[in-house]
Amino acid sequence: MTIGMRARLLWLSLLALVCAQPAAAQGGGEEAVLRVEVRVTSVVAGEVYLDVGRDSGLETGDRVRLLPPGAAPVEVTVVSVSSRSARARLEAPSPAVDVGTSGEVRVPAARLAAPPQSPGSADPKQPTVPVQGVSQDPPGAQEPAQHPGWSTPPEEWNDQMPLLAPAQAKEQEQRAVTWRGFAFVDGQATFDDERDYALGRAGVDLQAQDLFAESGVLHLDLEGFARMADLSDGLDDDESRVRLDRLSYLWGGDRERPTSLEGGRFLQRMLPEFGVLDGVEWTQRLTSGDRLGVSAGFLPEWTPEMETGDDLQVAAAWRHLAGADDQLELGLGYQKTWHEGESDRDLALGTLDWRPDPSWNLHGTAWVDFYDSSEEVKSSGAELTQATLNASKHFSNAAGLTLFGTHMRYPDLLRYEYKPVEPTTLDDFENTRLGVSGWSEIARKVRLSARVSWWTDDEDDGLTGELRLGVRDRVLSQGELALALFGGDGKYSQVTGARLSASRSFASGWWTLGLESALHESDGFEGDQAELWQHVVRASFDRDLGASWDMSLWGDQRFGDEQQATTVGFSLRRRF
Amino acid sequence: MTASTRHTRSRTRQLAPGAGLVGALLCAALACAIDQRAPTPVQEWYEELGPVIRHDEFPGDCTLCHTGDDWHTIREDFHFDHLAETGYALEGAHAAAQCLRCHNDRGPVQLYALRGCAGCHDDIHRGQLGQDCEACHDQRTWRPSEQVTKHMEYGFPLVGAHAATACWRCHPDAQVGNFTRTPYSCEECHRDDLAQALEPDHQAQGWVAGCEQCHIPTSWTGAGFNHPWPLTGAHRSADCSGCHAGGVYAGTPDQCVDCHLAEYQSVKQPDHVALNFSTECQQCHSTSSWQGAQFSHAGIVTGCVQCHLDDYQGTTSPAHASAGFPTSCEDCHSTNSWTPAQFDHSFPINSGKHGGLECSDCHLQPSNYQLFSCTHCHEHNQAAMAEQHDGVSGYVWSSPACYDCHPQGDA
Repeated sequence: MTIGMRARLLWLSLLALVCAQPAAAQGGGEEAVLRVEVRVTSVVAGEVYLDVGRDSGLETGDRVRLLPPGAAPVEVTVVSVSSRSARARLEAPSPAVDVGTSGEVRVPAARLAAPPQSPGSADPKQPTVPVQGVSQDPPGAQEPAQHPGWSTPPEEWNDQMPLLAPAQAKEQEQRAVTWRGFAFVDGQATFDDERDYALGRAGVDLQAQDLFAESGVLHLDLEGFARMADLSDGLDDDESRVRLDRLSYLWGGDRERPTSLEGGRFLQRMLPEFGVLDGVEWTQRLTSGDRLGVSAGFLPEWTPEMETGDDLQVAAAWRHLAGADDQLELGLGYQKTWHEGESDRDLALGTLDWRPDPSWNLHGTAWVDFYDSSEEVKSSGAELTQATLNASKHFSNAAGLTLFGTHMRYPDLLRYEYKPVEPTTLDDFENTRLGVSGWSEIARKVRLSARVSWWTDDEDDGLTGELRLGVRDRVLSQGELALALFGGDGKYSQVTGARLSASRSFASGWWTLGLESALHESDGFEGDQAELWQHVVRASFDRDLGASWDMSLWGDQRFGDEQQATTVGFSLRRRF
Repeated sequence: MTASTRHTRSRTRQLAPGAGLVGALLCAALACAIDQRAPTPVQEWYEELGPVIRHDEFPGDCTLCHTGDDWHTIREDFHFDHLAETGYALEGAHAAAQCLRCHNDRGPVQLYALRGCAGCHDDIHRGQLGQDCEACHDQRTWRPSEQVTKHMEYGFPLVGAHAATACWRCHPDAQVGNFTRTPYSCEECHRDDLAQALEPDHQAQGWVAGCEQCHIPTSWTGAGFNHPWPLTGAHRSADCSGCHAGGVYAGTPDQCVDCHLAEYQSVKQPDHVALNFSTECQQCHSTSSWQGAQFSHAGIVTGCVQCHLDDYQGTTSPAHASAGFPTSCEDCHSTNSWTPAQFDHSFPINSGKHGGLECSDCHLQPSNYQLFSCTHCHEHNQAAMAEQHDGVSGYVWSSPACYDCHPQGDA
């Protein structure tokens, strides 16, 4: 090897050494670690809360060494982190760890060199808080923001009351206006061989609270729709309409104001069974908790047109609270209506809501119509025209049982409230339904449900039932797979079928899939189509679009004997 | 009130087409424009709300909920086990709802919980569908599903056309939550269809109720029509007036011969009249076709030729007529089938060496089965027979002679 060659090799070696130096400094050096002091602020069910969080460099999974005085150190693992606090799990219960226990955790300094930008830090109104607990102050830390002077006067307090109780609410006039509600647009269309249907809707349900700085609520519920039926027999039906469901203003009726007055178009508060009213309703909460109310105005028709002005009503209602913890509420009401000036409905209503303990719920409502001798269809006297009952009980969140029942007859009304029927139907028709449903967690995340009901009307009766087995989070992660068998004896046909369904949640929504197959047997029909096997495949997809939007898509395909139909639908909603 | 004064007015007083939808879209756009403030995060608090909740039942450790820097910021990892603490699980949309939607100064939330769903949500059904909201709705989308099962519970499972029909066709007031008391009987909903049913004119015939007696819920016409007897074959495409002359349906006889007497009287193969066939055509014929009649021969043991003369005369293998076969068909044939025929041959042709022979193997003239030949086959050739009958007195090599001496076919 010549001297020249040796010189060139020496130069190349030196050059390689110089190039390699920064890499060695980057990758081969020991990572800087900071010691962060922590303190326990709360101990709850095997977990501790720490007074430092992401701003101090903590991350999920970090091991924290707690140093209870006079006891052995205890290690905990951070399971969740907020900007200024953390929650850590105790590996084993340790009585030595109490509120105030100090400790330490070592975090890489790199975490503090580029701290994650929390949403709150971008808000110029939020005070900038320095990194807490870090023994070595990072450069750029700011001074803690000074809390503004307390403006709330001291509250009455005695040693029988918990600390800070009661927190004083802002007076209504101090509150800012809050807007709540949602706007939506949705549509659905069905296509089959002989008929097509389409329905589109859009609307808004808006509530403005404290609009005039006196705790009032302005409520607007407006909807427009267009619907279309294109039928092969030529009986097409198209309709479009804008409908005002609600426009009302409510004064009072909150904790501080026992009297309320609502005016406009609204669903009556005391007894919603009395319906939507164009008028006023006054209520008074008594010191006993009971409420009294009276209302007067016109009843819009219970139709999409919601025409008003024909039916005048006055009503009075009383709701009585009973029980040590207001476990029982009884409601009684009376409604008198006039249709185009002619006396129409005399309705008495009774409601019952009972919750003897958190595992029980019982609801019942009864409508009793009174008729006089001027009625041509109904006889004079009282008639139970409708009743509902629902009683449910759950057992240790592992099983539940519900009894339910409904009964209905047609009330004899001048007012247009129900689809017109023949006088014989008005007089004779009744439908009663009684049933029981139950569910049980027969194994972890395996639920067996059953539902049996019996119905009867003025001519016939039948029994129906469904048995369903659902498995959650096993076959489908974060989802459910379910199989249901059902059957029933209807007025004109009998049905026996099965339904298989699957649903699964994901980060911002969920999807469902389902297949249903049923055999329908027509009673008393001897032709080829006496038995129809019909099936439907369903799918839906629902997801959030950001913080305030959500959307849904769904569809089904029906097929089988004498059936071929496709339905698609969508919904888009914005909450505010 | 009289029935005549009851409401019968038209239900559809329309606005301009599409006006409703356009108006609603404008409403939605307006609503979206009203409030552009960033939404409040779930379980979050913002200062404008004010501390509207009394804290008198809250735990004393403020840090369970508050960060400690200000009262308006709830800690990010705030979690409240609603089920364990209150007995109510927050499911579906409730899991993501702001606490203040329920816990506010409108009243003690216990009172609303006591009333169930209707405690917080306006019940647009006005209580008439009961409190079991989850029988139809779920807590995520509130979108009803599985209505076949739900309708089943009221005795009206959705079958056929009903399953794919838009809700509002049967529940015209569904848009405002009015689902109750929809009539069950077909004619109450299908008045318009009834009015259109002119072929035949249902109302003229008095068919104004009990649609299910003739129709099934798939289609009013065609296969869905339940005739008292199946309309198959030619009947399926026949015009109603062919049987129901003059549009008169009442009193139409339902016996075949009432319409098909002419066919009965004119048919000659077989001659139904001459043979005194029953006029209950369905004993032999189906509604699909006259051909392929299925006649029950039960009890018939003689007289076949009265019906089957054509078969007798047309048969060529063997040619019954020219061969002089007797017309007592039952001698050879059964009532199950013409073939195979079982003839009691006096010569034991069905056994031994002669078993399995065809008739024509011996009866060389199909026109005359009186004639037969034994000697034409190789086994009975003249030389061989002469050798075997050497010394037999009166031996003659002829078929009749064979039969005379060997009527049983044996030696």
